[in-house]
Parts: sequence; C-alpha cells; structure tokens
Amino acid sequence: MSDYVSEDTRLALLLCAAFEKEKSERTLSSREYAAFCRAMKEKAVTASELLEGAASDELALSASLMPDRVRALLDRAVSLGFALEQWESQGLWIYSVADAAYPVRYKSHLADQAPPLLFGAGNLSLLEGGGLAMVGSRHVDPAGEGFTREVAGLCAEEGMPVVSGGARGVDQISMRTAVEHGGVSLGVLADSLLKRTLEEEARYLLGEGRLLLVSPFHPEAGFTVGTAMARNKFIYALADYGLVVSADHQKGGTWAGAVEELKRDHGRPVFVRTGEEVPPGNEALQALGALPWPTPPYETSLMETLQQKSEDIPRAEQGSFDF
Amino acid sequence: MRKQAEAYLCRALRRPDAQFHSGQWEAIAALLKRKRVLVVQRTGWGKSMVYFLACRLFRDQGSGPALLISPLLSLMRNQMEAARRIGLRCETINSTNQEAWEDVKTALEANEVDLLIISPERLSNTSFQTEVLTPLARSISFLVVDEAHCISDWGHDFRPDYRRIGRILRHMPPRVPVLATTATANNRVVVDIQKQLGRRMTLLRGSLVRRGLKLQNIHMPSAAVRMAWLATVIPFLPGSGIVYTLTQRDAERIASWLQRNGIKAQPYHAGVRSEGEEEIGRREALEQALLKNEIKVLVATVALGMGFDKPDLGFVIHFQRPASVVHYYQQVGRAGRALDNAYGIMLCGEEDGDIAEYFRESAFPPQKHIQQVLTVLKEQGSLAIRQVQRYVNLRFGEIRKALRFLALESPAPVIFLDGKWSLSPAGAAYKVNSGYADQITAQRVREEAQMQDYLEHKGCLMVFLQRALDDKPKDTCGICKNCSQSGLLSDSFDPRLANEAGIFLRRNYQVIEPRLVWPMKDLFVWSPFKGYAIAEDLQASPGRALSLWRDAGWGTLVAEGKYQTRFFSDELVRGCVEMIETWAPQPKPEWICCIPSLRSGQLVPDFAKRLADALQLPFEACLVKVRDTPEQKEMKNSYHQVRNLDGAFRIRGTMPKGPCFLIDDMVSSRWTFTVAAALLRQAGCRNVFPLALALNALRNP
Ligand SMILES: [Zn+2]
Repeated sequence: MSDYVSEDTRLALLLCAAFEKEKSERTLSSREYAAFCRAMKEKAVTASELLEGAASDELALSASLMPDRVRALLDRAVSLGFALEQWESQGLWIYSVADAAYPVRYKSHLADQAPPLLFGAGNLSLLEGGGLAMVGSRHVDPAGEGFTREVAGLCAEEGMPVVSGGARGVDQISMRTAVEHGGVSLGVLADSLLKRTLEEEARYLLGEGRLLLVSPFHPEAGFTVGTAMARNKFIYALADYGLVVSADHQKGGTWAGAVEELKRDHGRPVFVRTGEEVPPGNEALQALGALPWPTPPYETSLMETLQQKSEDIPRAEQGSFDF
Repeated sequence: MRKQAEAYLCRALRRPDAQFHSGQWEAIAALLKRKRVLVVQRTGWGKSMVYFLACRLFRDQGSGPALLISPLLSLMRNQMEAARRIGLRCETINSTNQEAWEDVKTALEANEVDLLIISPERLSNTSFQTEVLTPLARSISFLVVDEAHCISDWGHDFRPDYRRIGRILRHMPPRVPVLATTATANNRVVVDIQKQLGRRMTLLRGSLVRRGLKLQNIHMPSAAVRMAWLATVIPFLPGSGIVYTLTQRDAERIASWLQRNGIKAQPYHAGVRSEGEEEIGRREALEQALLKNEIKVLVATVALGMGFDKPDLGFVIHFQRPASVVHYYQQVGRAGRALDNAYGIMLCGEEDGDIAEYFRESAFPPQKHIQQVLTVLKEQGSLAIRQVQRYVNLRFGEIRKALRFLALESPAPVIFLDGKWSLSPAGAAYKVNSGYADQITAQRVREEAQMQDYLEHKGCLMVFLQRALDDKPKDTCGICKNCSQSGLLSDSFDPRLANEAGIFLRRNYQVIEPRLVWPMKDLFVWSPFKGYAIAEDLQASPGRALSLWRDAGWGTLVAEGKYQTRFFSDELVRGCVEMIETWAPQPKPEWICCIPSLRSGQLVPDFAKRLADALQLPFEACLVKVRDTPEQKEMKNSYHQVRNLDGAFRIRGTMPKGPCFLIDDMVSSRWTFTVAAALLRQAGCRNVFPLALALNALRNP
C-alpha cells in the first residue's frame, strides 16, 4: 500500500472526510471521531485492522454511534482510493490527530474540538505553529491597514510566524507583509485550499518554504459561513497570541471568533488594537477581557512584551465571563 | 458457498451441468475473503463469469455494487444475457452516454445497480472524477480492473490513463477486494501489477497454448502484393475473421479494396463513424456483424481487441507486423478458440519498421514541448489550451499531449481547475524524468526486435509465443508452418490483381475541406480580413490531394520530386489529370494558378504550368510572394500558421474572374490555401479549387 498517508489518517479520512466538494452529513464530527478513537483504544483495535475489514459494530456502539452509519462510512474505501490519488497528485499532504506531524497545539488547546484531519501544502515544519494570529474584517480602514503592516513587519523581524485566515483585508495584508519582510506565514483556510495553492504568489512562497496553507476542510470546498466560523478557533489555536485588528460589534466572524477564544478555558491571550479610530467592536472586546495591544517602542522584544502582558491577566477570571 | 456459486453458474450459462474451469472458483473464493486477485488467462477462459458470480454473492451478502474499469465499450451480448440471468443489473458510464448519468446515479443511490462499468480514459478527467465518480463510488464494495497489464510500465500497451488506476489501487485500503484480469502478462508485468495490488495478491495463471490455431508467416514486402494475396485467399478461409493493420488509414483502404473484390469487409478503428450514429454505436454494430458472421472480415486496428470474444473466429491475418509479441498473441489468439482449424497469418511488409518507429517516437511528448508549455504557464498564469497556442509554436495536439502527460505525474506540475491549466507548486521544481521515457522506448525497441525474431523463427511458432509470454510450453504445437507442411496457405498471388491493387493505391484521392473560421478574431495586421468567421465569398471550394505524404501509391513519387530530383515527374501530371476526371469540380475551372514560394523557386509553378498544358487551360502567375516567411511547416498551430501568412501574398496584375485551380505541392494545415483563396476571391475570382500533390496527415492507430 502507498505510504502517502498513515493508516490512522486513512481511517480518519474514511470516518470524517467528505470526498465530495459538498460535505455529506453522515461523516463523524471531531467529538464523535474522538469518541470512536477512545473506543478503539479500549478494545485494542487498530486502524490497520479496520482497514483490512475488521468488524466495527462494537466500536460504534461503545462510542455511542449507530453501527450502520460507521459501516457505511468505512465502506467508502473505493472513494477513498480515488480521492487520495487525486490529493497526492495535487501535491497536498494530509495529517490526522495520531500523526507526529499533527500540531500539538491543536490537541492540547482544542481537545475534542481538534480537527480530525488537516489538508495542506507548503513547509511542513511551520505546522508546529506559534507566533501571532492576526484577524480582522475584510474591509479594514486605512489606519487599521497601516497598523496591520507595522505589526506583521515586526513579527517577521522577530521571527514570529503570522497566522491568519487567508481572506481579503487584514488576513491577506498581514500574511503578505510578513513574507515581504522575510518572515513566514501560516494560512488556516476555510475553503478553496487547492485553488489558493495555484495562485502565483502562493505558489512561489510555498515553493520557497515560507508559507504554509492548511485547512480542515475538503481542498475544493467552497465558502460557507459555517466553515468560516468554525475555522476561527483553528487560527488562534495554531498561534501563541491573538490580535484583533478590527471587529464589528456583535456581528461578523472576527467578533464571534474573538469572543469564542476569550470564553475558552485557557484560551490564547487575545490582544486588540486600541485608539481613537478603532471600530466599536474593538472596544467591546476589551471590555470582555481582550488586552490592549502594547504600543511600541518595547523595552525588550515584541515577543517578551506580549508574554509579560499576558501574564498580567487573571487567568481564572478570563474563562468565567458570563456572555 | 461453492454450491451456491455453481448453482448461479448453471443458471448464467443455462446449462444444468455447468462446471467451473480450473481457477474460476479459486478466484471467486479469494475475492469473497476480501483478497486481491490477479487472473492471467487467455481470452474465452471466462473471466467475466468470475466477476459476475463474485458480484452476485457479494450482493447476496448485502454488500454494495461492483465497479468494473474496462476499455470495453460495453459487455458483449452473451455476457449481458448471462448477467441478467443471475439477476445482475449492469450500467455503463462513459463519455458517450452523458444523458444517462443522472439515471444511473439515481439507480445507484437506490442500490439498484449491481455492476457499474467505466472506461479508464474517464479517470484522466479530474472533474469527472470529483463530480461524478467519487460520489458514485461511495458504496462500491468490489473492484475489477480489466486488461490489467495496461497498469504496468512494462505492459506492451501501457496507457497513461492506467497509471492513475495503479495509484488508486495502491491508495485503496485492503478491505476492498480487487480482481485484476489480463490475457497476456509476462513475469515482469505480473511483478509490476503486484506492486500496485500489494504483496498478498493471489496469482492465478493458466496456460496460454491455443490448440487448433495454425500459425504461418509470409514475407511480402509490397503492399500491393499483400492486398492481391488477401483478395485471393480470404474467400477460401473458414468462417469470418479479422485483418489487423497498424493505422486507421490502412484499415479504411484495405476494407474498401476487399469490398471492390466482392468480399464483405468493413473497417474498424477508433475513428469509425457513420452518419447519424455515435462512434461507439458504430463500433458495436460492427462487432455484432462479425459475431453473427454477417460480414466476412473486419479490417481493424488495435482498437478491436480488448474483450472482443468470438469463439468461432476463423482467421486473424496481420497486414503489418504488430508492435510486440504480446500484441500479436493477444490479437492472433482470438482466432479459433472453438474451432479445430483456424489460421493465424502474419504478412510483413517493407513499411512496418517505419510505422513502428513513428508510433514509438510519438508515444511521449518531447521534453522540449513540456518545457515550453511549463514556461508559458509560469509566465502567463492560468490558461486554456487555446490560449496556450498563442505563446508557443506547437500544434494543438502537441500542447494537449504535453499537458495530459504532466497532469498524470504525481505530484502533478500542472493542475486543471475551472477550465484552465495552472502551474502547481510542484511545477516550479519539476524535472522531466527522461530516464523513464527512455526506458519505455528502449523496451519497445526490444519488443519489436522480438517480433522480428518471431518472423524469422525456424522452430515451433506457438512455442515461441508461449516462451515470450513466460508460459511453459509442454510440447510443440504440431500444426504451425514450422511443425507441419500440410494445410499451409499458398504464398502465391495473381500478378494482374497485384497490378490492380497498385492502381487502387494510387487512386487514394484526399478531400481538402475548406476552412470556415480563422483561428482567432481579427488576427490579421496586413491582410484585409476581419472577424472570426471566414466570409462565404472568401472561402475556398473543397479541393483534392493526389496522395498521402510518403504513402504507397503516389506519395513516394511526390517525396522524391520534392527532395531529391527537385522536379515533379510527368507521371504526377497524368495522375492529377486522371484525378480531376473523376473529381469533376463544378463549376468547371477555367484557369490555373499556384502558390508561389521564394524558397522552392520554380518547383511548383513548373508543375502547375505542365498541368495547365495537359488540361489545356491557361496558367496565370497572378499570386506573388511579397515577404519571405519561415517555412509554413515550421508553424505548428493555427495561430502561428496564420500569423506567418499575414501579408505574405499579393495579387499581381489582372487575373481572370472565372473558377480556377490553385496548385501547391503539399497541404497539411490548409491555411496557405485558405489565405491565398481568400485573396483570389476578394480580387473577384468566382471559385477556387485547391489541388495538392500530397496531404500530410497524422497516422492514427
Ligand atoms: Zn508448431
């Protein structure tokens, strides 16, 4: 058998991946998949045994899943062959939770919410993550744009990766600025992974090893609000700190994602741009516990400054806000 | 389980006492244990029965349908009936039945289809794969790969599409049972297939020997002589049979020659079609006609082969030497499975080596083309093939071939998405693995040499074939030319018939269809032609070419005149006069002019003048070349060809307005004729009939 993906990933693909562009509802969610993996461990059944045709009913029952549903998913083995051949020829890699290359940050930070599968392209060593997650609206004001460039440039100089969502506006400005300044960036995409790898700029940077594009969704999935929302936590989780450049108040993905992260137990420290020209969402986030972005010059480095500032937050309190 | 299977076998064959052939049940049993099985058995052994019965038993257990990947156009009628008798519903999805896809999809979703058949070339189409196949494959429980030797790099007809199948198999979890079947695989190919199927593959291999098939080789260099021999011998051969040729063109010509000699013959190749009928439908109809002995002989290319099964086929004659022993065995082995006496005759001719080399050389896109195409995509971004034409001087087909080759690499340096080709991240670092192509080419050369050895072999011919295929011959066949002198076909021929065949070959006039659109809108800078469509009053009329370039017949004489003697002989003038008599263009041309050339000087005008004299028409040198252009044959695609002609010609002086012949020596893209005719017609000429000595067309198997 080909060693393009591990046995565990092959199994995760059968259980959780959509092989078609539109997601079919019967695939397992992150939580269901986690439960199934626990059942496998308990009953000492390995992925390769299941791939060879071992019975799955008992496992399904002990993971509180319908046996028919699991069997139907495992029966998609021929589709899997087609899909893997295509993904390999498209130059994409695929990892699942059990693989060594799968980011530890996801497992520790997201637990059962960790995406079972990651599709990606580019420098694999970047998948380790770290650095600063930069988020903000697609239509950022000029001040916000300038701020984004400044911060991303600084990250690049200090060797901090910039993690973002690859959307228009803040996402793309931050990622582009980082690589322009000799840094690296990580795009956590909610849709169209394949198409993005073919864009001229991305193609060049992927080849140079300065860009990583990763997505928990089908490489040819189209945009949906649902996946874009679900994706926010994957951006924060892959970085050390989050920075909201601009957020609408009570609406939009940036707001929802930041609130979600602030609410999370041991969430990433979320910073927010402050000042007179910031949108109302930014101020509201500050009231919910987001930290004001420290203004330069910094006594030490940006990285150390962020570390110090985040130690200031009373961690216990952060998770206890009542939204 | 075996009992159940046997009961189904009896029902399928409608014979209460039917028994499994050796190996059939073993294959089924292994599949039921979710194993992977490679079956190497000669045609007619009953491979389809293995997957029908396995499919039936799987379905009885509640498993999903089976997927059959096969180059077969559809199941043979007798197979269809056998499947139906055991309650299997078989459906096909291919490029020609798009209108049925939705119904098949619905039936699959309702779990009503038992066996889904797709052709391998569908797998190269990535959008078909994502949009149609992947959803359909969701419930497939068992996979059958027909003609599995094509997966192997070492297979005699390794096909690019099968490269993908090999990879798919390697990616598929072992829980999927796979049946791979082939009639011909030597050890090397078996090992290669094993690599894709996994080490635990079960191999079931039967003997390839074919009793009752009388092998004989006859050496006849001249095509005309071979044609005379065919016309003499075929009426006396038992039953009906197949004549194999290497090219579509030869299949057409020989079929029509045999028809002229009162033999019920039809051509069969990948391009046959008849009016109002789909190509596939036509091929199916021809296969049926042969099966029912409604025709005496199909004159076919390699396109007739895979899966064609006629137990009482009386003879297989090769007009030219096939590319390898495996090809030969596969084709000749179709004869006489159920007969005591059938013929396998190989004629070989002077052109065989030439054609083999042509096919060999054109198997892979040249590295230079690949580099050019990659560079364009790198510099210009995503493009459709038509757009690529602007930037590289390559034929449309060459561009497509290079892109298809690249798309089948993994990781692929180019990716087709949303109707356009893009460079992928892997494209920047991509290096053509020329070692790979060289290896395959070298393998082909060895295979051809082995075929030549077969022709000259002094021992038993059947034993030679078996050895070449790693089968272990127990004994000589006793009936081949080298084993026994009785019942041989005579190699004599009627010289008068051979002479006639020679004339027939020379009357191989080719129609030059007028072009109706320019390659691009408003392409011209110097010439006064606008728009995309060529206005009706600027179009040429249908013309004629005397021959095919370098063909038996006039072709060689034309080549000689062009490159050696620099003079087109009077014989060619007479040939053209004769052609014009049969052609009889209307309205009758009243004068003659020709395509001028600064390079070849008087070659064409001189010929045109002599033709004019012979036809007693005036010759007018009214077209002149005003700009020295690179040779048109250097221009590989429409865009570059027409650009090269822009402003190259002008009308000089006054010219007659009546219909005329426009003469050139060679025609291939037709753009020179098209542009010159447009100029003549714009200057008031009523009709322009192009006439060339040779048409340069590609050879197709
Ligand atoms: Zn013999």
